[in-house]
Amino acid sequence: MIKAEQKPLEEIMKYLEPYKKILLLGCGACVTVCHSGGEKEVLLLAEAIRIARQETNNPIEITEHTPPRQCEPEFAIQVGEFINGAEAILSLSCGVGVQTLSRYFNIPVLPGVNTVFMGETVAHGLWEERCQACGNCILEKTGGICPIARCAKQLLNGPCGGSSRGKCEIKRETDCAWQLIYDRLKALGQLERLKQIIPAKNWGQESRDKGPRKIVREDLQI
Amino acid sequence: MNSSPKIVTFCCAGSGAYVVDYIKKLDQGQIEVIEVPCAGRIEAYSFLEPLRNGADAVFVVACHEENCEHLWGNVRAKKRIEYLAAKLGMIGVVKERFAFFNVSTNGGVRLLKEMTEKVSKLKQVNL
Amino acid sequence: MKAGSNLEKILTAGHFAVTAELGPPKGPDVGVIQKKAEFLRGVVDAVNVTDNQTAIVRMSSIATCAIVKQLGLEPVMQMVCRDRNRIAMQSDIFGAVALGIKNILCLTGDHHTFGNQVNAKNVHDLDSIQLINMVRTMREEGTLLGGEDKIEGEVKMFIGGAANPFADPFEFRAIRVAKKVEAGVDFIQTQCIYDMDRFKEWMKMIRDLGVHEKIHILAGVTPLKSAGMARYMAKNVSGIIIPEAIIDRMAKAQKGAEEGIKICIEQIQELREIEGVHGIHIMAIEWEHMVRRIVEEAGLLPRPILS
Repeated sequence: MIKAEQKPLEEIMKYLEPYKKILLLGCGACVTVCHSGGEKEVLLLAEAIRIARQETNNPIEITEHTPPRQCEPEFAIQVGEFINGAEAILSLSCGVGVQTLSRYFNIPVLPGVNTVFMGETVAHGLWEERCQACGNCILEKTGGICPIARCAKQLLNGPCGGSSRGKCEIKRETDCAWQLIYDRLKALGQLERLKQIIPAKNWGQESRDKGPRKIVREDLQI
Repeated sequence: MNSSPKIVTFCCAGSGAYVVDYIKKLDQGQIEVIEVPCAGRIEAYSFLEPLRNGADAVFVVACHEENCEHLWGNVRAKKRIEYLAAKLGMIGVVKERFAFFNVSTNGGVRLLKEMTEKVSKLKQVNL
Repeated sequence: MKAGSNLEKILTAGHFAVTAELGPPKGPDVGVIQKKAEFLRGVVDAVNVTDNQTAIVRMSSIATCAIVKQLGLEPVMQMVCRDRNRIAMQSDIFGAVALGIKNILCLTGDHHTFGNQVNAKNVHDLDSIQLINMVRTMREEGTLLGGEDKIEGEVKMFIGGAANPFADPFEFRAIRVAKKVEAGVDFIQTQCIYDMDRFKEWMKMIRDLGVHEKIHILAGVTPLKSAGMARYMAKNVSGIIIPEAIIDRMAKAQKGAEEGIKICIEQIQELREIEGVHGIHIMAIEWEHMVRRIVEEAGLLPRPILS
């Protein structure tokens, strides 16, 4: 899922300076899973903001609500019921939710988290990047391990000369994606695949380099 | 080519069900008719089941646009059939194996004519 | 001849080649290039000009190569995949050929976070194998990558790549060189060698794959200046292995630098005996004035002059 991290409280307090009443929105999907913007995080953040503003004798009124998600018209519109004169919305959803709400409401929608990557929950409290939405998945060729998200140089014919003892040259703790791919293909009996050259990626036709992307399903549009 | 194609026809209760007698007059193939409450009630994957079970074609008969009791059921059904024809076309399932017809409750004569044409085309292609 | 460069002629004629490296200045100071070039004049068959090595901003490889050529030495233009996309790369290759540069070394490039502009956007549009293949396409098909756009003029480049017998997974390294051969590489320069046993094992895998008969391999060497340098490299630089025996030797020596040169010369002599090694590549970074001595004492002077 999408993984995000809450912005530093300082930054959030700066965003909130002009406002006396806000709607603090969590999101029940991705940010709940990575503990940065779910219901619990909303409760905690609301308290922290209230305390911070009390300290400066500048109280703030906060309405709290956590819809199932924010990135769809039905849910975004429903949020309207909770605005109640709020001057701004502080949204803990990923960047998508913030932008969806911005389309529906005429008050500022402020991001309370930094959307960081699409990743896996490796363990409770540990999330790692796994996918960068390159637009043309090659996991079939690489044993289910993505070199675009997990190789620091996005090599398609790795590893580079900096792969040492299974680790990446940029950080001792970082696994070399191509070592992982090698090990996995070996375990699957598919090492022969590594002999094939993967040609240059069509970044400009498949990926973010072609401009903002969209998916259209005419069969679903009424 | 198949001289007597097996065709499964989904007929919606609002219109198709009224003209089943005409459909059964189609003498160039073996027709099985399934009546459904609304054409839009049938999911795309359900239209594929007959093909998997040996049918040569799947036809859907629904109300005219703007006449659907459930507002958009007929539109949804038509789009699903178009989607299936395009998607399965990529793996060699020819588009003639799917057809969608709009009919009114008294439109049996015309429907039979349209279906007959479609079945002729179907008989000419290699399935 | 693919490009007719001096390096190509030397290797094709069967001579044991000698190349070295020249690191461009961290600014427009041409004087630095002139100084380093003088150290290497008559000592090497071609000189590699690095491309923002370790992601530290230096004068561009192409500009430095042009100056090196003007000074009368033959450059090998290194091009990394880190900073340029395919548009810029092909454009620079046109320019390089127009400036008389005939050798290119295609590399991935050290990660940009090692350098002094860590906030840069990482490019890596292509990897080194795709770059090698692209240059070969330009040379053999006369088109850009994609095979559609015809190039005005000819791109005659002698194509090189790098190999690291000391990186992992070891069993795959020689196969990766074979992939570079398939992609179109003409010669390979290796990472600097200290672990001779491992290098010999790697060369055996190379020979088993028949690679040594298709392309030329130049073995990389770097003279050590001190035991401290040896320990630092062994510990901190990914993909370099320095056996304890060598670190010991450096530590026990009276004058570290002298011992380092001695070790380097011994290595060269040992490397000359290995089947499939067609030359050496001396990476004496910031020690360019030592190259002459190393090449001379290894018995490799004078360099052949071919027409």
